[in-house]
Amino acid sequence: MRLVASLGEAWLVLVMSLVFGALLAAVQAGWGARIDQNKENDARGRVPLLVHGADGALTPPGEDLEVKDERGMRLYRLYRAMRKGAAAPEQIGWVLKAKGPGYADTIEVLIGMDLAAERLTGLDVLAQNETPCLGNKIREDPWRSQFREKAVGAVLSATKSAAASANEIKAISGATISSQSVCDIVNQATADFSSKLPGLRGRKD
Amino acid sequence: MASDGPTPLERFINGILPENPLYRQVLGTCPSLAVTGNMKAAMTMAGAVAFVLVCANIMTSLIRSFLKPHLRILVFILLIAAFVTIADRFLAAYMYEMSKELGPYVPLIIVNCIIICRCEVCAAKQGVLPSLTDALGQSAGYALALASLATVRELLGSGSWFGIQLFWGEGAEQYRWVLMGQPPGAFLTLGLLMGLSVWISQVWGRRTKPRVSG
Repeated sequence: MRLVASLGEAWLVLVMSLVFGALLAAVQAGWGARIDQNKENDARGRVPLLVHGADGALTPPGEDLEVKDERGMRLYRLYRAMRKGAAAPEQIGWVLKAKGPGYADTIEVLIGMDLAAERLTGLDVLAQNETPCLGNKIREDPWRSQFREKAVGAVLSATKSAAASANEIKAISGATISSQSVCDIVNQATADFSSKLPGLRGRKD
Repeated sequence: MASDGPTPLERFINGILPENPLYRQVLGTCPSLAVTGNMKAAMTMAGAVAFVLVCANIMTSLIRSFLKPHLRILVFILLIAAFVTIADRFLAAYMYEMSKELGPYVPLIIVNCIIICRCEVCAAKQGVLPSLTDALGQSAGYALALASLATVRELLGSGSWFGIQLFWGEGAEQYRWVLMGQPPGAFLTLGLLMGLSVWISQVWGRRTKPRVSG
């Protein structure tokens, strides 16, 4: 009887949930591919900003990179940066799209690396919902530029004071968690990428 | 049967200035301050709010006889969240750069007090036509408020309007009032324009105290 009474109270909420759930599923089915394509184009367009000398128009479509270990499965999107103006297609670097938890929401970044995957060539933030005027400064170039020339595979950490060692990144004042989150995403992504690199070298799509 | 409430036309007109959601009811200030750095972003936000407000008011009015008092806010949020998600996905699909520029402020329309307020005080008690004109009036009033804020900020901060450079050439870059593009400029402009709207109402002989029609 209690169940019937509860259903009598909540039937409108239940019906609306089903109707709007179906509506949103239809919206996603209709626009999802277009949204994904927009994101893909956006990422490919940023490749020249992350690998010096690359051409966004020549960047081939990204390929999925899946890493499984005891901590679970992580999925990345990998782009091959191609030299601008080269007579024949010539790869000059890698750009890896990775995401991970931030302070407020998931942070999605693009990580640029040289062809040997020894040095970071740049970092860009594709998506974030960090605190305005604090954590959202991770998008700004003065902070992101600290990642350039860092060694791939080094464990980067955010520090509140000025960076004292090669593996330290000066955190944004008042946004240490957001800063460390980006470092963690980069650390995990570059470690995973390095483990997959031998299989990727020489493979062409 | 005589009605003592405003007519649909009066509801529409009231939303524009006498009950302007931003200048008179002081609702929805957070996105108003955040997205009015330029006209394109402000008008996109106004369009998204208008879509959600019109749809939410119509739906609420249609189901008003089934609403239970203790579940009404849950139903409003459910309705609003669905329409906001549609608006957000539309922007991501067809206006991708603008979607990125507006960032979290489109999803945050879900908790915009203007929409919940209109569902609560009007649509949950009125028929479809009054609810529709109320939503259109409030949407027009909100768009007007955002446009006025963005116009002042973009003109003074960038010397442009809708991204078109108007009277400052490249040689006059140093005269840009950069503060207007920053949060303090938004607060300053909102305060001044709010004072101006009160003054206009006084000049027109209207009551200065904000009224909310039910």
